[in-house]
Amino acid sequence: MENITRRRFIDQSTKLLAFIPLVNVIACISDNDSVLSPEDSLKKLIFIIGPWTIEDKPIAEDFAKRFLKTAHIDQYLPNSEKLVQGLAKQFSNETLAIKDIDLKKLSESEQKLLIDLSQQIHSFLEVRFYISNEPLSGECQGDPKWHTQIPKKI
Amino acid sequence: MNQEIKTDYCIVGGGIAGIILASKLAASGKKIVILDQGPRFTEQDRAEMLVKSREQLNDYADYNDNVDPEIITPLSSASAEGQIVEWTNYRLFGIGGTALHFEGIMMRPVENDMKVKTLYGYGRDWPITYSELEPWLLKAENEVGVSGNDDNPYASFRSGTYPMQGHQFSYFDSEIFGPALKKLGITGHSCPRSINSVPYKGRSGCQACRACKFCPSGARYSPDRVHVPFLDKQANVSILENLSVRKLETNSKGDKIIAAHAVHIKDRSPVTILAQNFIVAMGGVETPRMLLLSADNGIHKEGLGNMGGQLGVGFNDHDTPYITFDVGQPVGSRLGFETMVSEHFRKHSNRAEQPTFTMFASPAMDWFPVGNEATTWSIQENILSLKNLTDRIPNMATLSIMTETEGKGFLELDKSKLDHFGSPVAKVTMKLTDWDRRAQTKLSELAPELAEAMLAKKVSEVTPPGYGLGYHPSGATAMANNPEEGVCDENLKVYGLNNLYLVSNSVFPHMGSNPPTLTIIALALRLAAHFEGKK
Repeated sequence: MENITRRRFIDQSTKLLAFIPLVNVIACISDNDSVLSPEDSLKKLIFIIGPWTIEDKPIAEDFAKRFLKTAHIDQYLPNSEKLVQGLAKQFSNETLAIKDIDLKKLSESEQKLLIDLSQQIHSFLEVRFYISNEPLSGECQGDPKWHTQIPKKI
Repeated sequence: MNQEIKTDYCIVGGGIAGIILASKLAASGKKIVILDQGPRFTEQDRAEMLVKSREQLNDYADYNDNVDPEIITPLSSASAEGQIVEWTNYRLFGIGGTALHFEGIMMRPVENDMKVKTLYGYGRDWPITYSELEPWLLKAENEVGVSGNDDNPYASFRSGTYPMQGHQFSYFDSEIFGPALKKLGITGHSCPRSINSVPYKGRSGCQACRACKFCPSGARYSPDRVHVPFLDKQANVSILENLSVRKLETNSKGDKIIAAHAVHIKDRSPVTILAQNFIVAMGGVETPRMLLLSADNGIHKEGLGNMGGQLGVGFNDHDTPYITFDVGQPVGSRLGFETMVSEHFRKHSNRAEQPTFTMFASPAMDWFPVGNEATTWSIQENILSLKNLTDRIPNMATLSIMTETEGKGFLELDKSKLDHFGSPVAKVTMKLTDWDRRAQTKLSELAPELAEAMLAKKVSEVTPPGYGLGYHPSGATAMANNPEEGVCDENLKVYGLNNLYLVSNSVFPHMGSNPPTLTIIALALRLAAHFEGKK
């Protein structure tokens, strides 16, 4: 009988990804991910790796939607399902969120895919600005001294 | 049917050099025609590019994304010891040229950059001195509006102040980078830029939009926002876009250009331009290419002004390696560009042994993919810590250097590769010498020292390992005292031709470790004065 945890409940409800409101927590995965398409698997990977909090799930979804339309996905799509399944093995149903990923439990190609995707995502200005609580590029601040301010603790 | 245009000045190339030259000549009342094979870009284009960059997650969205590179920007085959240098990546064809999307860095050369052969035994000397160029550099700063402070202890003399104050140092510069430099005996100072720190000549001061390529506020100088609107109002000036000049025709004696032959991009219908004077202002690659494509059967059979075999020789560019730091604390916000730089190693380098370079540092600049290092550094004992990664990103900063290179490159026609109109594209062979590479060695030595001074947690290796980005191609039609050493004289007139002039970075005999734009503008202003007998 299926052990329905809160995590699984959310996961099944969204059919996409469950965000768990822990401090600095981003995403979680389930063991029924085999039903996901390559696109949904890649979305899930983006959510897992990316920095978005549960409150900002719409932002994450918007980002993933646009990412899936770029040429970057060509290298990730073919193996995204396998990687999500590989990651699922690392986390029991009691594991609510991913903070650390044990690369040893992934194949060499899966490790490379995961690292490449992380490097790709965290190189986007939009993602870096999100993490740093900085407004989007192109949004004028109207304050030519704003760059002189002591940074707030992130 | 062949369209014929008669004019006094025919300026081939609508980039910053041609546009500013025309602006200064306009008051003479003489007829001026400016031709460019690219289109005009509008404010609407800018707005759409900004939207597109977000919608398509493309941090590198640019003006020429929608034009066919095979037609508008013919591909040059370029190699640097087996590695491809993407020349088409940064140069921009169209009214306004590359200055439509440039970073607005307006550094001057230093005095010794102009006599490297005499002083250090490499490169080529300029036929004019820094003292002769300096008044034009000052005029250029005022022409485009340069913000800067007189705080650079490494600069050569200047005869006047900047037209406006420099941008205030960022938190990172004043609290982290500047103090670290000071520990190493290096002074950080303001970076002169054609980005307004305060409102200037009807344009806004910087609004911290952090999308400088598009500059939504208009604070950054762009020819299409300043000089092109002025020219559009002049009855004696015509700007013709989407018109590609294919060849300059010499007279039977070979001492004069009698026509420029062009075609409309859209339908290839021919246009002949007859003029008293022709000025080629097509940038560092297309200017020498045009002279090569215009070879005749007489004394210019190897290309215009090439009787000394110097056309294409001394092709040069900057090398721009960089390193990444995890500073260990938040580095703060930014304006979209560096507010502090250091020209320390332009003055304190033994130039016989090592190139000069300028240092730029910034919190995670737009064009450096810091996600690579941030991810790699967040892997410990085969565990990728996503929390560590997220915590680390706000602490990332990059340091890039712009290095002088010796100028051993060569530009020629690639007859195996033709453009849309059947003409050979430019083939560039870059040669970084052992001397060139010593700047990177120095950066490798400097990186851990600077990291320690910043109390940084991590510092990367030097990236990329040795090749330029194609930002500042120069030197292939150099100014010189005689045709055995260059292609044009000190007044930019091509040797052997009485009415052909050049103005672009291709005329630099040598390029120091500063971006070339201010010097290009200065040469354009100086050429205008030459035409008017005011120099």
